[in-house]
Amino acid sequence: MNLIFQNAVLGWLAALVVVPVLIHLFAKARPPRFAFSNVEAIRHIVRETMRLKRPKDWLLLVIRTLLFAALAFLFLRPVLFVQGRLAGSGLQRNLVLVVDRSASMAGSDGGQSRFARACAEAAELLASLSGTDRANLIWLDADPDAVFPEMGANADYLRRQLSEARVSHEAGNPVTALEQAVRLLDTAGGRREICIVSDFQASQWESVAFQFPPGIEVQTLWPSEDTVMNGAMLAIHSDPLVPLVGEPVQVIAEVGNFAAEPRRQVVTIEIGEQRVQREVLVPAWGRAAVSVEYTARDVGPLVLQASLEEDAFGMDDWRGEVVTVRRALRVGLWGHDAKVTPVWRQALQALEWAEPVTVPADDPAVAAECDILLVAGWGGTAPEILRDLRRQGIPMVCVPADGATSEALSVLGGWTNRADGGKVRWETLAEPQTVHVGAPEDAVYRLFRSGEFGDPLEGVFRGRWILPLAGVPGISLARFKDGAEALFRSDGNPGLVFCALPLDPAHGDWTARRGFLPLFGELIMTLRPTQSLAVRPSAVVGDSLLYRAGMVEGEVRLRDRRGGRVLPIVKAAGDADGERYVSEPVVEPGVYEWMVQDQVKAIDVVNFPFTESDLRPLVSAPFGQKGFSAGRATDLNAIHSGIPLWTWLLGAALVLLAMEHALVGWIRRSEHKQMDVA
Amino acid sequence: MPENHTYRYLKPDDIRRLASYEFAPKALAEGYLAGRHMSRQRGSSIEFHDYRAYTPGDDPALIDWRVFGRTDRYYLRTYEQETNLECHLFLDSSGSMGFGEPATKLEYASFFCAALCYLVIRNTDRVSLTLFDDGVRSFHPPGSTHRHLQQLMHALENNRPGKETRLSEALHRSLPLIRRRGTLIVVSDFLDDPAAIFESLSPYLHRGFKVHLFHVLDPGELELNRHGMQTFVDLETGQRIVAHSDVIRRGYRDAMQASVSRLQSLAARRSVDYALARTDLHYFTLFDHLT
Repeated sequence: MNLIFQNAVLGWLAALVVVPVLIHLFAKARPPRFAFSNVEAIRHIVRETMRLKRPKDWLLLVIRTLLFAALAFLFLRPVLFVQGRLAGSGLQRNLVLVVDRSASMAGSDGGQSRFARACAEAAELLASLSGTDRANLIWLDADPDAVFPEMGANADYLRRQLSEARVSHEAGNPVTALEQAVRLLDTAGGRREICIVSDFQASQWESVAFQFPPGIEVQTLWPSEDTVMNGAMLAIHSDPLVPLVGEPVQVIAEVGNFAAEPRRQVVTIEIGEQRVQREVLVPAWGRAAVSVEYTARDVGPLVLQASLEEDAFGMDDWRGEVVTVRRALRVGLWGHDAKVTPVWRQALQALEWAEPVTVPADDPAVAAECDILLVAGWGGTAPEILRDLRRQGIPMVCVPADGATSEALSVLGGWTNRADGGKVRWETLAEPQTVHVGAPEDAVYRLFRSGEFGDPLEGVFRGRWILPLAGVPGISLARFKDGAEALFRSDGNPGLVFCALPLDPAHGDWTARRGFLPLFGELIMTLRPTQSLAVRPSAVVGDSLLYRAGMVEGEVRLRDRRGGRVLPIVKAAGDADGERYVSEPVVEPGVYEWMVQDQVKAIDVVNFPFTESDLRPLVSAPFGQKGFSAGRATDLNAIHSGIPLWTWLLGAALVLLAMEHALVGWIRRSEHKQMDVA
Repeated sequence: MPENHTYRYLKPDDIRRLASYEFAPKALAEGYLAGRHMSRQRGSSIEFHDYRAYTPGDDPALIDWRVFGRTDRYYLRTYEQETNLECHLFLDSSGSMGFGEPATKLEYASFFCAALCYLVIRNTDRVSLTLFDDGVRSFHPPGSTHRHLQQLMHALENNRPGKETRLSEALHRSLPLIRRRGTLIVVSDFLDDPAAIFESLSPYLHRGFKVHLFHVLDPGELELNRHGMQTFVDLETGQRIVAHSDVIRRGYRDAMQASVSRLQSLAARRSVDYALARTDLHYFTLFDHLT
């Protein structure tokens, strides 16, 4: 540490320290003289009294000496510098403020939001800059951007921006913001500083391991390190995800509790026009679900909404989802195999709740619109396309063709270390074989437990595909008599079933038996996506909404259903299917309707990014021990401009004065007490 | 009688009031005039004392012939002799006696001594006066004449507070000057070592003196009724000490009380009369201790 005196010329004032000592040593009270007869007795008594009084006098002397020392140093105006800071104090400062305005900054833990506090502290940092210093401001949100394209001198403008800014509903992107900050300082000379003003939300920052270039000082300012207790609406979805008309579905809402104590929450669930409330006890730092059964009557989009009573962090108390109620499941037929595809198509046409959709070869866009894909004749080419479709939540039943390698199957199934060189091959059986149930307790066979629908695998088979599935995690639903896999469902979500059974009449009579169609239907129904992880997540704040229109007649608008506010949209490049409209990034959660001539054509839901709900800050300072961390801007300013000690000295002087006063008062009181006794 | 004179310490009004007082100490006196005071000397009087065997040189007239007739031995009848009283006054004239308001202790003691002298001489008894501080400043041998009284009054009037109190020294030095036993009256503030004082009194007591100690103290000395910080200047030594009267008052009072109690205790142990003479009370009240 370095200590300098701004008024060093007044150093002689330090001599004041000896004043009380001199007074104590040489000053004598000159009370009135009194001629007395018996001074010896008084002397004896005074000697006894002085034994008690002397420590008080010394204490008084010490306090008075310290008081004079504090006053003397007060006039010298000492300034304390942190070690190493004094040397660079004359250079131009280039300060980039990275101010977090992600949603978590809206948390309020005492009347003022974290963001308001952060802006105030950042403005104070800017106020400490001199006229020659340069500064810039980067807003840390989903898409961080700087106020100035390069370092600027107009700190007042930045301060105005800070005063007018509002917190966003978005998650932050710290790495991008820091990259921008470093880029701004690339060409700057003098002292280069980055000050990050954030709540350092753990869920956002703990994975950030940014390497700052040498020569850049990093400071972090935590306007609040408290954890705001928060309840959040985490998800709402239907089970099944694609309900059919007349089918009872469960609407499930998940509530999170980001607090150290369990909380009882009242969840309001809105399903279309229906509104119900459920109460749930959410464990500490846990989550709980409530469900409502609902039967859709109409085909079309159905808006599901769930909300909580408002708390200290209200942004995440609402969540919505749009499910499309279908009359029938869209079952896509991908590829072609003469032994399989016609039978599938015929079977689908027999099921009134299924709608067969022929997927043109290599057109994943059409496949993506399907609820389930039936893949036949796939020889292992371009497995990534099918893998991506699975990742979009589309379950599949696959009858691979000859030559499909185990590697291709591994890519499709998402397995690892399965490159054993095996291939799919067709085998004509010399002796017809029967197939038996491999997992009778599986949901696929639930319908058959009563015996009403007969044996699901009745029939004989004269041929089969040999599938290289050894070691693949999953369940063998059916096996040939010799143990070969007939129906195999791999683990994972969404479901993936491999079928080795021939469906054409030339190689078996299973499809003609009573149990085939029910088993086929059950296989499709049990593969329907039922969990939220398996479906494409809805948009979150900061995303743009997309509307694909056919031949549009009239103006397309995007409207916020709650407030009626119209959002700006742009018309993107069209394609053969029609026009594409893209909105600007949506800044608030809600239900948004695409309108064409005042008719709702599509509904989108924009949700709050649930990663922002956990408001716990980092346990330790970010970036390790690099840089300075402080809770207030004044502390950071003190690092640069030194800590003026005069306020402390003044405080010390006042305290010492009070102590001296109290001590003198105490001495007098004790003396008066003695007088009263006397 | 000096009614037509005006002495500083013996006012006509006081003389008139003293007319109703009589100085009659309880102790026996040893005087040279047969008088009203009982003496341990055998002599002629009407009060029979005892028989004793005749020795040559005795007055044959004193032989009790009746006893001779019964015992065939010469016995003399002895009688209690009434003699005049000798009163020896010791007046402390040290510097500390100059303390006191409105009258100093010395003035108060001088009034008392003057009255005593008057009473003694009025009874045709003899009175001596010793003025002392750290030694005997002046000694006025016993006398019973008006002239003697006049000399004593002048001595008192010219007396001024002197040096330190050395009562023990004064008593020691005065012992050879006092030939006959009588009543010894010490008027002092006794700012001396009590043990030394009583050691010096021992020869007097041994000789049969009746000793009266009058401890003269000003209320200001007893109570220390000053307030605030004071520079106390010793009247005898001139030494100074700064102290807060209010702070030391309690301790001072205790010390004074202890000092008085010790003197009282020592006096009682030696059959010495002790009386505290507060200067705020009239000195006539002190005569009660002499009767």
